[in-house]
Amino acid sequence: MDALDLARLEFGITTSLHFLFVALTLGLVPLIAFLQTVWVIKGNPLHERLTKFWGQIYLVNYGLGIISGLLLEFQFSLNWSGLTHFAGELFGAPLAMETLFAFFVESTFLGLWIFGWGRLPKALHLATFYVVAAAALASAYLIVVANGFLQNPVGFVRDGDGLRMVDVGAVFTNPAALLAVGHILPAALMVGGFFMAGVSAWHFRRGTSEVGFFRYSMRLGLTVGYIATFFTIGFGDASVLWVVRNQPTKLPGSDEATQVQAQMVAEHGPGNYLASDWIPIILTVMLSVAYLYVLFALIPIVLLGQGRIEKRRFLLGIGVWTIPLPFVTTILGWVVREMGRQPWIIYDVLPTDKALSDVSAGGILASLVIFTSLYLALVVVGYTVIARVARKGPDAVVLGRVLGDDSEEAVLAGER
Amino acid sequence: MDVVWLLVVGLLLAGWFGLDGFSIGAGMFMGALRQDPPARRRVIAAVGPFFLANEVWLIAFAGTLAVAFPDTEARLFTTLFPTVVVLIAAWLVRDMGMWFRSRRPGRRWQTRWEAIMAGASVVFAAAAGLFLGNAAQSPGEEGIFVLNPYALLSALAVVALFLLHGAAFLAARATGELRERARQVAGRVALPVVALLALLIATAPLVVDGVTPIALLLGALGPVAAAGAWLALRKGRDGLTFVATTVATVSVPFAAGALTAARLLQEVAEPSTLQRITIVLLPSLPLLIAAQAVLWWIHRHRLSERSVTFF
Repeated sequence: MDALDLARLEFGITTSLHFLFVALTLGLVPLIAFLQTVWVIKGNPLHERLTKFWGQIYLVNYGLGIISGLLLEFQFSLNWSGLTHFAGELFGAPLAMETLFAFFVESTFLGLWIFGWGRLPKALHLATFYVVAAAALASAYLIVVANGFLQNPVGFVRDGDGLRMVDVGAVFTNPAALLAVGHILPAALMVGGFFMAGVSAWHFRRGTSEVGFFRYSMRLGLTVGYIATFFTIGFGDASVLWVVRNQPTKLPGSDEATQVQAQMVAEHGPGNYLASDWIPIILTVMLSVAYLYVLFALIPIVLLGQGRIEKRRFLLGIGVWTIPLPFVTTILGWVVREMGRQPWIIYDVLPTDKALSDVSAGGILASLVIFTSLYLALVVVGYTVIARVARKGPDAVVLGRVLGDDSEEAVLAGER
Repeated sequence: MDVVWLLVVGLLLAGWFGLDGFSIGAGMFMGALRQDPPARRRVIAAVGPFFLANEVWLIAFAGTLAVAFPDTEARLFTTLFPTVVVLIAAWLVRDMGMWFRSRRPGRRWQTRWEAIMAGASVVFAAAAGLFLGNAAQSPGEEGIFVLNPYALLSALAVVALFLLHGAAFLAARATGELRERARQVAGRVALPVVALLALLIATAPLVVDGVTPIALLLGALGPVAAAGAWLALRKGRDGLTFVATTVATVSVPFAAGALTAARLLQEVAEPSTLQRITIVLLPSLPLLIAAQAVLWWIHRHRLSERSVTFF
């Protein structure tokens, strides 16, 4: 493996693992905003408990998302400085906007939300979470705008050894970005919704006494997840159609792909400009999973009435064991999108190897080893902690507790 | 416009030093509380509300530097590649400690993450100091020996400075015995910090060509403010001590930036880029700072049994 392969491997591992957390964050944010809104309007303690329980799971997951995201902003400068140098205005600007408008705002307001329980007036406290939710959406949009430029460069001119932006509107309404946002957001809702339903299923299998609590969660999760499935498929199919027309090398085997390959050889010199043959296979797997959900998620939805699903141990078990499935499928989507773009870092403009920093393969290998180990530790410990919080149920929630509760608990529990 | 963006990037980095500097310092401080789990719990509770809002400044710095000074970012990150990798790795580990520590009851789990956090905080601070000490020397294509004496001095100074800053924060936010412990540690570290910061600016002309008066002035602000912190501490003025350590902390990145300013201004992005980001990014800064100010206002009180905890 040379420096290029190592840098690509590092990017693939770190971004994929980061996106596992991002998907659940994006999927849970609207659900929690909904639960807290209902609580503020109706004042029913059930909704407060729902907000806190799912909110705590969301927070642990958000923390994992932050930690795994820290490196990513730096990784472009460390390993891919050719990209920021060449297309700083087009690729770097949306990323910089993401750090300031989205991440900065999201973290600051999340701090206000976490530590504002019982401190801020209820409506104001809810408003802080709306800001968090809006920032999360802005973050997803801006990242995908940056990525969309790599897929479908628009609104630029070549100027010396770099690119200049000439049409801001085109960059920010790039169809490669908008279709992807339309696909990713409902896909995240599938992740969040089926996660919520799956955790509730686990509690029903254990014969939970919190029937009302998990019945509400199961209904909300299944309904949102199921509706989101159709939007995911709709925008997914639209993206595929768009790719076939505009980025055909992503799906080798078609006439269009062969034609574009010949054009690129004529324009950029000899080489293989087609993506790997297995990209279409991964695409098929992703689509199949979505159709499976369309079909089989109907069964628990039909059984939701009068809580019949709550006694079906086998079905509940499937709900628990399929929690990872939407997660894995979203990663497949990124694999198609990113591996399919190769050998270009900016499609039809800049080859990936031209963007690599002037760093030795040994240096990249060392960073690959360090960060992969840290990410694996993060994933293992993180999901263990999330599973623990999920299993403990709503009574063990710490969100909104004060320092005094801690000392009391230490006295009650005795010294461990 | 070039100078405006130099100041903005400097402000973001200084914001990180001044804010996350005390989170990191408080993390190190936990190492001094080896036999006292409840005190360590209070250290984390004291930092808690500010933690998320502090570290975002470094991300904002990196994102802005990449677009306003793309060639600087490429040059520094390539020549200082190992330092940056260590810095980010330590950052990840420190954050893992903070996020995981309170997610399970049990002394062993919590003590382990606290120890990891304390260790990672030291490495994090040292890497930041090493980065700045090297960056001030404007390393170019020929590269630089990362562990040069000046950079090592800078690393040591930043570690001591962050510890002082973290202790000053805890003295101002905690009560009772923890506050006393924090004051003791701050009192012990303050004078060494004055000496280290004075040495850092005094030896700068040995490694940097064409030191400007502004750089010297900003550099001299560090030891003066640290000395002020020592005086305020002796008078029992916790709030004033924290303000003084904040000034001392932000002076370090500003001085380093001033030392290498000439090089940075050559590497600024094209005017068209700067014009665009001036319209889009600059107006957001007051809003971001205001949001952080609200956070500080809500949590302006000293730590009490009624303080909300999460971390």
